Amino acid sequence: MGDSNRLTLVASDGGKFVVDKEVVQMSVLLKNMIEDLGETDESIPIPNVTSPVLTKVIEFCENHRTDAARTDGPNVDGDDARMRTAVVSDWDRQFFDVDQDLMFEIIVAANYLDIKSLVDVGCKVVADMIKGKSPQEIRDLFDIVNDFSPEEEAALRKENEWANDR
Amino acid sequence: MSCDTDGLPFPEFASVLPAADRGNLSRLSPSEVRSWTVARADEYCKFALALLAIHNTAVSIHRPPNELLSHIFAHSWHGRKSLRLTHVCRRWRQALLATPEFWADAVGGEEFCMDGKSCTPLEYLHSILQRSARLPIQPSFAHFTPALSRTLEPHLWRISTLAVRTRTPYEVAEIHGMLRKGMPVLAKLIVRHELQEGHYVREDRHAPPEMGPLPSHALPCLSHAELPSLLFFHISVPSLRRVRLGRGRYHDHDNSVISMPVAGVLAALARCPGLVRLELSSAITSFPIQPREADRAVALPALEFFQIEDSSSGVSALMPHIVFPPSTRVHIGGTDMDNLRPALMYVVTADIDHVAITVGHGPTLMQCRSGTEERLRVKSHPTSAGIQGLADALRSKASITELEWIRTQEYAGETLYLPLILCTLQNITSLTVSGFDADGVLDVLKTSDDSPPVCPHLGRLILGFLSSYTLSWYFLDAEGLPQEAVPEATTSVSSRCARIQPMLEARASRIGSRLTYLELYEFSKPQRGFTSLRLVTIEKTSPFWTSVEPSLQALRSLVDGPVMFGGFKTEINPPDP
Repeated sequence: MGDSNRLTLVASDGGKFVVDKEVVQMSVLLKNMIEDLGETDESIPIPNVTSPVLTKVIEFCENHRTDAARTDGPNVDGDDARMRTAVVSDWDRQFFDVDQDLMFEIIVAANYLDIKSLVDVGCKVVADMIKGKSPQEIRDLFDIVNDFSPEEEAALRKENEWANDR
Repeated sequence: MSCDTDGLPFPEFASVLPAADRGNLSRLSPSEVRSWTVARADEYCKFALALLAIHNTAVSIHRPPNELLSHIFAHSWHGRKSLRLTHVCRRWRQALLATPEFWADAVGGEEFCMDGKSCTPLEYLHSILQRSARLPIQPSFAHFTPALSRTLEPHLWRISTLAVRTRTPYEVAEIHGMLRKGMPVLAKLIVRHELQEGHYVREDRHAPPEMGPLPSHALPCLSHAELPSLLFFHISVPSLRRVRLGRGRYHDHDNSVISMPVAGVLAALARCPGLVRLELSSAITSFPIQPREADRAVALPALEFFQIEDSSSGVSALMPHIVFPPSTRVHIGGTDMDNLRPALMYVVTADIDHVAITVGHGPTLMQCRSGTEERLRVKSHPTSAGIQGLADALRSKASITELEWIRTQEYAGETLYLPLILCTLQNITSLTVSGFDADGVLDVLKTSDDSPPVCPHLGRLILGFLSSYTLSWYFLDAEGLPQEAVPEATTSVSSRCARIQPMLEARASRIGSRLTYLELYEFSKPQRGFTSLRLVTIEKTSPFWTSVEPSLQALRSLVDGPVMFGGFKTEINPPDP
């Protein structure tokens, strides 16, 4: 029998990660799985998450293990508003200082694993990248192309003429 | 490389077409070519747009599902220019339109001006209100019009905070009309009446518009209100916990139509027994100032903080009719102290034991504490009658054992204030006097043979003498560091000791009173632009200490405890930002 406080996660590419149960319990998905499995030595497969992404997710959970109790509780009134106004810490911002592919894979993985705080921080970091930029600057930033017809664009400009008021 | 153009008469264009299109074209008449090409071009445009849309599905920011894109947009509002996020691509437009949080932020993210040159188009307001769907919203407006009221009507059920700056009483009445319709989640309501100086509106000179009481349960969640007192009179509800009443930025008689007499304010307060915080700023009309005999006192048992800034007659007319716990912190601001006595007699409580009074630039600040907790703060321009009123209230209602008196401005008449207080508060055991009165208080404390003893129980005395010269000029070098004390400093301290000594001797011989602690220090008057004092330290090995020691030693024989020279305090520049 292994250490009952730790368990093994297996990434989609076969990479294995031995982590504290307390850390992974920031994921509602894994927390429920652990409760369902009870005491076991079986490793838990994470089929939708690759090793590099899982490495980052675990890094985030380990850094935030002390505030897990705060973010893991039931969603009470006002929680969403509070989360929306909370400021992204320097550590979190540094954590997401990675290439865009990895950044969005982390957010998708966090959503799959149901780690609310990681999803929220990731979305805020992306939102901050967007704020204050013109549509073309945003397209350039994320390699998006304009897929509106000229007529649609004209209609959009008319619809949002108030955007130029301020 | 050769190009197959199928013999078409436009080889330079035909070469880029697929073979099937070239084949079709070769069989068409000129008029058929015209209609075929237009239709085909339209098809190709759609095809191209579809390809671009497919390109966009493969970019990394579109890897997350739409719900996550919405989550990102929920944090993305950054002013009205953010509307252009819908121009980025089709998917962003779809996701943004399905993100009510983004539009709720648009509703709450600015103050909408509803009148004048920079008026917000109602279409825009209507659009973002619709898109914010069912979320709670917190809009702010400058001016309130009937058209705005109609635009908001379908959304009243989800407005949780509403802030409005009004200019006329009729706008206030329009808001009242809207509140009457019921706002079930409204928790915070701010209505600031800001009559522009020199921009008086004719209607203001007339009677206020008719307003009636709200239907019961119209505002079941309202807990925080900042209002003109007239509006408060009509909408006060039991759920209120924090109330700030004000007349507006300019206190003009024209503006009085949105204020209430004392009786009205009391009637409204009676409907809010759960108030925790109450602030009134020029909220009471001048006439009739006195409540009627029939007006009963209003009990506010949960009140933790009460602030009133008004004419001293207004303050004194209202306060005795409000009953609150002795632990309530009370701040009073009046234009003068002459008529504050009734209010002070009412708010001074038995457990107040410490009074600090600061006379400087602007109004005098008086702070009364119970232990370390501030209970009463009064900011007012003092007069002899006012000081007497304060002293009477403190003497009859409290047992003051500690007094701090600081005066850094010299005006005629104010030299009398401290003796007046000291002669009244006979239970003082600890006294700090600094500034212009530090020297004069020695004569008061000396007590004469033909008058009652002053502060007979005084044990602890701290005196901060205002230096007649700029200390920094004497004691600081070019770098602002302390340097050797100059002889003038020794002379000054020695002369202070020489002034103190007869007072100690007189008290000991006439009333048998001896201090248990004595401290003196020198400070230079803070100049405008200087915010704090710092101590200039003179090395203990300096000849200065050797030279002042005999003077201090003479005092030690007259005090049953420590005698200290606290040093030189001088103004410093505020730190660079």
